[in-house]
Amino acid sequence: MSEQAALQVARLTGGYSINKPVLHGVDFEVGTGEMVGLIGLNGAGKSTTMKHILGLMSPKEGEVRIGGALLKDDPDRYRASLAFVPESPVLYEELTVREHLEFTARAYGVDNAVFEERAERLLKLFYMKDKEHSLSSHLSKGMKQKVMIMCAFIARPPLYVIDEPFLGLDPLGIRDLLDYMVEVNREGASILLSSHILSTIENYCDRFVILHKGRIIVQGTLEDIRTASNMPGASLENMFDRLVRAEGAGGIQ
Amino acid sequence: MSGPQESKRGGEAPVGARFASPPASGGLPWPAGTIAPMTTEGMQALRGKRRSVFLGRIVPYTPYIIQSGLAVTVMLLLILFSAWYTSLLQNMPADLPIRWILPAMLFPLTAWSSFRTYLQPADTVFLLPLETKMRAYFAPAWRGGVVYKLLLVWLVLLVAWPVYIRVHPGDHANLWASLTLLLGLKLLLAYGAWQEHRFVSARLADGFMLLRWILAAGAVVAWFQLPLPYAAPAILVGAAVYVLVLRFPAKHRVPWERLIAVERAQVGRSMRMLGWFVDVPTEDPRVYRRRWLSGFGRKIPWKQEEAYRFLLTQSFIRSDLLGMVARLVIVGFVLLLLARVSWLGIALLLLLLFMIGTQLNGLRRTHADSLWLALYPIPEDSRRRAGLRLMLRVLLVSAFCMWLPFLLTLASDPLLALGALAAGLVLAWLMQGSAQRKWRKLESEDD
Repeated sequence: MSEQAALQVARLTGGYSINKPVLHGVDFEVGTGEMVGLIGLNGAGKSTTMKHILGLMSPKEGEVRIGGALLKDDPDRYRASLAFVPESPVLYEELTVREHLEFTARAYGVDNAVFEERAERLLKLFYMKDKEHSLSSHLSKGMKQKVMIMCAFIARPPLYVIDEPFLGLDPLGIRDLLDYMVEVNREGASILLSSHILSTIENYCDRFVILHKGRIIVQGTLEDIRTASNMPGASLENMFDRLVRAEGAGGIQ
Repeated sequence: MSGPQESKRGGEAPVGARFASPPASGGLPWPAGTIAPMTTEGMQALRGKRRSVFLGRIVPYTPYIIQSGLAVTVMLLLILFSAWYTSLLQNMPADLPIRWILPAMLFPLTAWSSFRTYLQPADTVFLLPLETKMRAYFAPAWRGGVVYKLLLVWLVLLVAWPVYIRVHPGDHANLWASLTLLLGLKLLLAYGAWQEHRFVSARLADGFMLLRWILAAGAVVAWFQLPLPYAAPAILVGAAVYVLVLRFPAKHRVPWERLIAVERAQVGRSMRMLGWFVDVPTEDPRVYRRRWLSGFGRKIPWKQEEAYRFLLTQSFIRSDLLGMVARLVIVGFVLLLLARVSWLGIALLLLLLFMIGTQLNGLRRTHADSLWLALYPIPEDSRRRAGLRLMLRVLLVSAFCMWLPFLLTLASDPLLALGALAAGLVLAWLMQGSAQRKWRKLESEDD
């Protein structure tokens, strides 16, 4: 286990019921400045893994460390090191778009002047400037998702956990999000990204973790996965298809 | 396929234009094991089922409400009212402005209209295909919306009537005619309120709501103030014009989204009222833009430990809770203009302030289950501190606003006026202290 890793998930076993864990010994890392794709079928355990990382669920076995710290050791540092973009937008109906950004910035201790600058840039980038004073209940689903994304990026923590961010986003929104992820990634932030749009994330993530029925069946760079699946030059989508189907049939022959 | 019994889980009951057969539970009008067409009976059964599910959520809390001292308080108030009323009848002031007091009591109850539809968000998928047949579903909502409020307004009239006839014996506004007038107005204004829901333009609906209240006030005042040959035609013409203008605005056949939002707000209000007595999960409240108040949150210092205060302040200024507090303050202000000259005024001020404080206890549950408050790095005790701080401020401002009528008494009876202010401020402070203890105890129970 490396000391520098932004996120360490070690031998994680857990789920909604103690006797029936969803995750079985899940073990992976996200290094500093790394973008890692967490992929798997529906019900593979991606969201459960993320809930353990967020501290919304407690592991039955194993542990999750962010920047080397456990949640129980230093909750303030743990929380401040992490921003989350959920699969379905969760917004306060009482707040406007800009007030969501402001609340997040205040909570993460972002300086007021820095907030103004970041907010301006994000609102323009995601074509939300004319909606900044709209209440969240008046936004479309894609716009709500953009608010979630902007909230995560206004905080600028060392680690982003992003669950299915492309759902409901327009094509420009998807491109802008990817560009922004690359930008924060270059500045040293780490990203754990879950998505079913494999053809898109293939070109952006440094490494991939493929989960199936709560277990990691393979992890590594695109080349590592090509080797593991015995498919030189293949796309992530084709390899994923083969690996998951083979898993059902007892593994790659 | 799902059945009506599943409406408990979020209203995914009807599929397409039909119900699948439920087990023989719930007394539905079709036998078990058959597909029942979505008939009038089916529609009524669906609404009935939803109503009983809602009541099933509320009724279990009744023992707690009774235990909380409400029953004793109501009994006490009834006894006090009876004693006061008897003495009023025995020593009737000849100049009592009952021609103004009676309309003032009757018109809000006449104008006030609400309907419980029990509609749920999933209905825009599952009931939408039945839009043309929804009349059977809404009919009981409409009846329920009229009947109970009519009984209430009649009750107020009947209770106040002995006072009225003592002051104006032999007036044209006899009891039967007045009861009939209220019936007619109630039906007319409930119809108007239903049409407002159907309006495509929300702004126009707001305008017509104002019109409905003005019409109610105008009609009741005209009835008790004008001679019959003027009052009756004036009310009839007003009603006819109102019905006519209601026809013009563009309307939805069934205003799904509005009815769902209104229903959600009503459920939220019921749960919040329960929350005055027991700790119940709160529903998402209705949100009002209130642009002119938006600046309040921005004035909060830009510090991490004040982040929750920002969220709470913005949520409060757009909430139903602020509306309730404001209404109580306005009622208090008006009543205290009349009652400021006696010690009864102080009692009234304290009673209203107590009611406001009781409602503000709901601040503890604001965003209680919020994902972001669980994830964001917000200092743990900042939530309780922010809630209590806001509660104290609102109580102090409310106490001061309701005390303003005592300024007119300041010169003649400074002890009374200043005593009222001091009593209000002390009660505000005491209520905050009590909330602090209660919130701490509930927090430790939650942990």
